[in-house]
Amino acid sequence: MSGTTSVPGLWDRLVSVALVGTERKPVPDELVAGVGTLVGDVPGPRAEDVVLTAAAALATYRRVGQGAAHGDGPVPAPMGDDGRQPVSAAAGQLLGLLVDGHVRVLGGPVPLIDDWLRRCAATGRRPPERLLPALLDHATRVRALRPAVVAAGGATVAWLGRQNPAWEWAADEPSRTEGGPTDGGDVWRTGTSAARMAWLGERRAVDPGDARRQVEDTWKGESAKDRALIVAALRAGLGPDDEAFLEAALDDRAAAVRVAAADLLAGLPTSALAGRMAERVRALVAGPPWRVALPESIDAAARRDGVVDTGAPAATGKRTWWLIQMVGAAPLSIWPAPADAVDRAPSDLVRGWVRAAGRQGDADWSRALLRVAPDPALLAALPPGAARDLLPVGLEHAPDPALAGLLAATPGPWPELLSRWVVQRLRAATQAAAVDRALVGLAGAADVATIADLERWIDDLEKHDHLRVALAHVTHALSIRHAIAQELP
Amino acid sequence: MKAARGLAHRRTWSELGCTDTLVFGRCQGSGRLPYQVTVDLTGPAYRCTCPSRKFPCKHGLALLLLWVEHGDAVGDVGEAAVADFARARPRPTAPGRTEKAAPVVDPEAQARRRAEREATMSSGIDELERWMGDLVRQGLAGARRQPYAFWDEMASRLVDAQVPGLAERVRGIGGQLAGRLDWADVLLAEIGRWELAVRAWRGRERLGDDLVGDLRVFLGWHRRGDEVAALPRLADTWVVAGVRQDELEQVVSQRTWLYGEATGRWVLLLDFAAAGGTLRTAQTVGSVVEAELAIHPGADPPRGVLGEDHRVVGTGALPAATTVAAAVDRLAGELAANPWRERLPVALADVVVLHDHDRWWLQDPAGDRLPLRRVVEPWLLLSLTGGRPATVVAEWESGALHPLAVAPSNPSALAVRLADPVPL
Repeated sequence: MSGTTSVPGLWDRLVSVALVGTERKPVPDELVAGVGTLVGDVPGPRAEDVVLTAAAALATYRRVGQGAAHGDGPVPAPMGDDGRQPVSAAAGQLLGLLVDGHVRVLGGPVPLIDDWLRRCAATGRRPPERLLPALLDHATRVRALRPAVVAAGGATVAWLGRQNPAWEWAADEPSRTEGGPTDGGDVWRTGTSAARMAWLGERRAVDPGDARRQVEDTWKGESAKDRALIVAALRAGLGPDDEAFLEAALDDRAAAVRVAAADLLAGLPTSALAGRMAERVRALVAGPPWRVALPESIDAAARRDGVVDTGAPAATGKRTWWLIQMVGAAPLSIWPAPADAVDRAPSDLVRGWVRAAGRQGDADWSRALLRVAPDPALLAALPPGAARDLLPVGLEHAPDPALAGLLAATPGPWPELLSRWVVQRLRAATQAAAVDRALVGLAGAADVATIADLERWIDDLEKHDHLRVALAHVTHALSIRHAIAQELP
Repeated sequence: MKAARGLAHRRTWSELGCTDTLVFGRCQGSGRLPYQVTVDLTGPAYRCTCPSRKFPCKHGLALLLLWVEHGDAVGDVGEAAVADFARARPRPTAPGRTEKAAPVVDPEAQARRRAEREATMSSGIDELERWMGDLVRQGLAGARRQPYAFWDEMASRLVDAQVPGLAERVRGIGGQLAGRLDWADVLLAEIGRWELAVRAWRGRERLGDDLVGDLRVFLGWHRRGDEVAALPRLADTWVVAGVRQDELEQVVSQRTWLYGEATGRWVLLLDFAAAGGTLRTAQTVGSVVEAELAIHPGADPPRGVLGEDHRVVGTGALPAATTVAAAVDRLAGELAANPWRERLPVALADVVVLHDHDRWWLQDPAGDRLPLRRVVEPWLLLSLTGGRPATVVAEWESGALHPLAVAPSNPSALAVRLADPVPL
């Protein structure tokens, strides 16, 4: 059929008439004839009757005549066999409840999902495929979930990561849209600021030296804002090799960059900056028994090394703050053994040491300091095992308001004994608000053996005590974890 | 009208019911006691115990709206009739009242009322055609610029003329034109469908039962409960091929597509429930149900009604799946038989999900393909199939597919059992 008498041709002519209106544009004869052929009688007499009849007939023809499209290109390769057996139906249901949000858990479902995925990976089985898109979406938003999703998701997740640019972080090969984590050049040179920082963080975990070299290559062209972000990102994988670069950054034009560099160097006890701080401190502090002189003034060199006037904690004088900063940046090795040092030490020194221990991560210093200063940083700076070992020390000496911070700084899962000890300490607390805040940490990390202890606690409370509700939430979360542990042994 | 819309929610009404000529219910308004509202369809006449001086008051309009838009929700008298025919005891949780005994079962009066109704509908339909004539005379470009009230007014006149299905389409088209490049095609195609309904209505005496049945559905003239008892039956073992739910204004509607293993026919089950309520047909996708369905008149695939007497005889089954070309052929036949059809079921064999020209497609080994609807995200399909060929059951709607269920063609060799078709 020629263009004007085929259905598509007739339709286009009809649309152009109808758009303008039959008052303004007459109906072409070919249209009348064409429709007459299709319908079997000539519509009319008025123009609008023709148009309506034509619309009825042609619209129907068009609708019925919609065919299929055809594709000649290659069909993309399917994924390879995952090879693993699926998890039990009950385990799959548990994960489904958490991922779909049907179960509301204190502290959110993310820690439990993480727990489930890690156990799944350890059992060598695969999670239900129907939950993988939702898991990938979760982990795109919550980066902490990503390692667990990749570990448990296996070949399917890696393949899905290549199909959806939003999930590219999960892909095992660079997708067609951007370079993957191992292909540094493109992202670092041409990506958005956010993408570059993400890449840098990931690269530092794999090869810190190469990451820093990439940074040095592009340093001259970076904006002040990006320079500050980059230096902060170098905290990951920080080591003595970074010192030269950071020392040079102490002279950067932008204050934010200088501050960030000084902060990182203070965390490297072998650095020249740390050595300079040690010299300053030796001039001011003697003992034990301790005699402390506050600095009269701060010279340019000290400012270059990061000593500032602002940011002092409440009720702290400027000169005291200077001292704390200096002690906080000096290597802990210049002091006597922590147990001897901390004994009867003035509070200014203690606060300085807490800063230093928070940066340098020393279990002996943390242990000694926890007795007098229950600062969560003392635990956060340690590897998880060491933190868990020291938590009892902190709990023993900490006042109630400090409990929540200490628990939050101690990564789970906590061994049974430690968990039960935590519950015992919380029961002994007198400040209800402090206990409330601490419960989130409990829900996330405690061993399931504490469920019985918690239930006894609930029973011992008054009926109207709101703490019962909060504790019920904790036992709820723990029992889900217990169910996960049973289904994924 | 707007106030009436606000009241036309299932949850504000109780003791809903309808007979041949009356629709009634209690509406929880701002007063302490619910208002008793009655609408006499032959008038139409509205009676309401609310203090409003407006006539008809918003409660009467709301009740009408509720009845026409969710006729099957109100018509629980129909469900009771179904129970009768299936020889089962009455349903314990029937939310509506059982049918009031009609005061006079007079066939002459019934025939007269039906004739009156048809006359009312005819005048409304004629008016629609005149209105459409104005539209095309003045040009669609002008129509597109009209406010929503332009479409709403014609729609409410159609409601008055007891053609609520058509009214809903007129009301809805205005909102679909914004932001589309092909709006003129869409509007003219819709006008074409309305004109086709107008012409079919005028010539309905000459049309077969099936076409009249489909026309009535499109116009919104629902089948009354007692008519269901007289419908023909079709017995088979039916695969539950796919289920789809929509929620509109607190009412959940569910489409269950059944495929008859012996007859090879598709049948649609429709269920409604107020949000939070339970749907009547709760079959798992893949289950096989032995049942005798009551079949409404209409082109294939018809609407069916499931009786109480049915039993599940299998799981994990699939409908017969075809190539894309064969499916399109069948779709063409079905659309030609019922040109007002919105959604149709398809079952495609060995299709892969792929991305091309900014769209996602289901493509069969011959290279023929149909697009997924733009609102559909392909990730679940991809995750379940791993990019391998699979059987996909979908609803076809305006040329694009909405997947309902999928089963891999070659389940992994390590799978312990054949994977059930997974509902999407």
